[in-house]
Amino acid sequence: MSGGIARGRLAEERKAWRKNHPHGFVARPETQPDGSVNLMTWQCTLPGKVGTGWEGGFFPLTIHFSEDYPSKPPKCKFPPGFFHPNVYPSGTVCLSILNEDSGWRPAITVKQILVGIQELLDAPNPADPAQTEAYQLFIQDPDEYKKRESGCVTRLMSQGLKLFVFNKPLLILKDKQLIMRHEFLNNVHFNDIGSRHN
Amino acid sequence: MASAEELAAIKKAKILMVGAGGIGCELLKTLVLTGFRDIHLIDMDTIEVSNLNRQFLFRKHHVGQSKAKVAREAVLKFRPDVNIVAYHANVKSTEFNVEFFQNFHVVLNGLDNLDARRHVNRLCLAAGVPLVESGTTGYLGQVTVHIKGKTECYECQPKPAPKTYPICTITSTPSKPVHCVVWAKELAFTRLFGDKNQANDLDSQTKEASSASEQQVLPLELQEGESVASFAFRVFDYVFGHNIEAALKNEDAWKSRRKPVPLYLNKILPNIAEEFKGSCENGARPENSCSAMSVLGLKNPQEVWSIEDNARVFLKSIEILYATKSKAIGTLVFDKDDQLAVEFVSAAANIRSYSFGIPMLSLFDLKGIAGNIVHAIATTNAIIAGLIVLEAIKILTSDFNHSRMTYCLEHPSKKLLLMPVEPFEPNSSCYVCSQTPLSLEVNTSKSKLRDVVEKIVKAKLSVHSPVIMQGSNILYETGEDLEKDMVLLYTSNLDKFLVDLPTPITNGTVLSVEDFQQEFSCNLHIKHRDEFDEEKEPDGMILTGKWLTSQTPEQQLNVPGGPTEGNNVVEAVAGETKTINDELQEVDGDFAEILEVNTVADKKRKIQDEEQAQKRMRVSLDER
Repeated sequence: MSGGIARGRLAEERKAWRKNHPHGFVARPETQPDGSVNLMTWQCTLPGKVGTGWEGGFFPLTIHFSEDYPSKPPKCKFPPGFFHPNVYPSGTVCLSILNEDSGWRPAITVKQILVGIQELLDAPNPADPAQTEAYQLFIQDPDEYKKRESGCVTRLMSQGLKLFVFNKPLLILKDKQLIMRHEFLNNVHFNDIGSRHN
Repeated sequence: MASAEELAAIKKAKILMVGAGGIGCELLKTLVLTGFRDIHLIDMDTIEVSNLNRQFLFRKHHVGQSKAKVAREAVLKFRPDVNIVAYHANVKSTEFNVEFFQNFHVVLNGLDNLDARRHVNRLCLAAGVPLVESGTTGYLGQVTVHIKGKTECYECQPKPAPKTYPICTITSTPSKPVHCVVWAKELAFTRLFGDKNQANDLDSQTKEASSASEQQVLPLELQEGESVASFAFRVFDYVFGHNIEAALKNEDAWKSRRKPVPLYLNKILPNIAEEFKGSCENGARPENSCSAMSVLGLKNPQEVWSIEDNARVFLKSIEILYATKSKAIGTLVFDKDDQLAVEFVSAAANIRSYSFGIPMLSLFDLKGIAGNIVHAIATTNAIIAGLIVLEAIKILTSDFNHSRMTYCLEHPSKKLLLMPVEPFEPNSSCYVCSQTPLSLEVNTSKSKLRDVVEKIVKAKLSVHSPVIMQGSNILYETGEDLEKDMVLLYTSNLDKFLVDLPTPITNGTVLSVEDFQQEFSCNLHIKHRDEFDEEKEPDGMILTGKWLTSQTPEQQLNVPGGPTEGNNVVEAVAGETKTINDELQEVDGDFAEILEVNTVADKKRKIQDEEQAQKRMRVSLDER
């Protein structure tokens, strides 16, 4: 029985998002190959925050809602292997407002979730590490961490993730990343980029 | 004493009872002793040994027979003059349709699961038959009355969902035994014996800077030629030693938390290799290999074992699981009735608890947590059955003003154990009982979505920017803000016949129609019809029911559901959520008086404590 409270709330969330959402963000129900559009899973894109090492990047995020939403928080996932101290190797985001036992409240909107995760990108929470790699670099070698942070852009590219695009000149990135950008653009269909960010 | 009017109503009443288990046995007995003479009884279950302690109509020689049929025979022995019809069947089967339900004056539920309760609720609403719903969990119980249009239906309030735990707490920072049980069940058991892809966060700590290619020996995989015992030793050191040590490196995480202690086998059981030597060479013998604790000589499952014994059970259960279920490894799913699985999970949970300074528990208690088991109490069932009969009599004599929801409490409140509460009004935004009565007759294979949108949604319902949904699927939206590919998709939907849509619209489909700009929403029940009269019915479809026409949103908000033009119906937008809700599940136990419920007992108790406080407030208001 799909429907009921979760469905009603998600229909409202969809309406609210369509009427007003923060610039640069994308959030929409997932379209299946058969053409159906399901409210229970949303495909989103977060822009890296201006003035941080994440600026210029767009990061794909999937939000999975359950039938128990909004009494239970949704599950938010980056692609597996996402480089961040508070993202599990599976890509699941560890964030207090997504935790039923601490910060989650049914009133939290999709907009608040996405903005919260955007904030988290540049402000990792060392008290709740979710992956060893990013966490240890963050603590022990901040310079290297910064490098890897912007390098995670390139890693996502090599996985062929099409939502991950740049719509600005990569002034803040170093030479190496610029090269990667060209490789990326050569390997990805332009249509996939153009349709969303032109 | 019952009045003459009540006795007359009782005598001629035709009752449907759903469920002949814990509550059902008590209820059937109370009904016939009250004077009811015509009872139909549905139950799909057969009698099990574990039922006999409280389902008193059944005896040992009945085990394996239909509950409904045996209950009927048992009651006929002391009341041979009553008419009882027993169905050994699932209440969800099609023979029990709306027409069937309409045969009865009242339906009495003694069910053990949410799914069947919802089904019966919907049938009762459709048939217009009052429902008395019940449930017990241990000392707690409740009886609620659901009368269409008068009181809330079973689904007007959201039901508490089973507790889930955030992944961070489970993988990194457990603080209660239940966290360790979930870890043992969901991560350790699944990773070692179940679908490996589901639990990849258990390996998370290892895929660090040292690249995967350097690690030739996968820590949680049995190597070729390796004995299961030495594999088990390796798993122990890895999950309780290495992983904990890796977690400890994240120093910030432990600033305000107690640090866990890494556990290695050579510290806890230095002689384990020799101890296990005898058994691992010839493998566990199949005949007594169903239990690690019995192989190890541990007798009492209600005793908290030492860390050493837990380690032994952990290792031995892995060994026996491999010896006896080698083919199923990789596909096993935790089952609370699988002794070995329970032993593994209990031991793993206890060892992890020990490491994190959390108290260890007995296998019996851990089995209860892992299997969501609650104890059943026969007395509660008897009390609840009595209350059901009282509510049924009020319904039969149309004494609706005295209908009550009654809660049976564990501890007295104002010196009372039973707390009656006036039933709530129907929730106007309940998606089950307050569906707007709009229906659309249409030929679903010859009409296109465009026809429905233009001729009905826009022309008749005055929806300017339609949003059309079926369940959680969106079929159509309009608006400047939509992305190009969405617009293309929706345009292609418009030109499809209703049955050809990605989520087909057929006879019986309920569409939800909303307006993106105005506050409007309604449900459209689709009825398929082959032929339409071209002259009288040029649209090729007919909309019936009452609806709002050309009102501004403000006007609509001022008259929510109120009668302005006849009985216009505005479905309130879901938003308010009442908090009171404690539908208890009737639980069905094992011989050790244990019962299974859909929800974790722990959470339930917490919810109930909160809700009891609220109920108390409510009752004190009622008394004023």
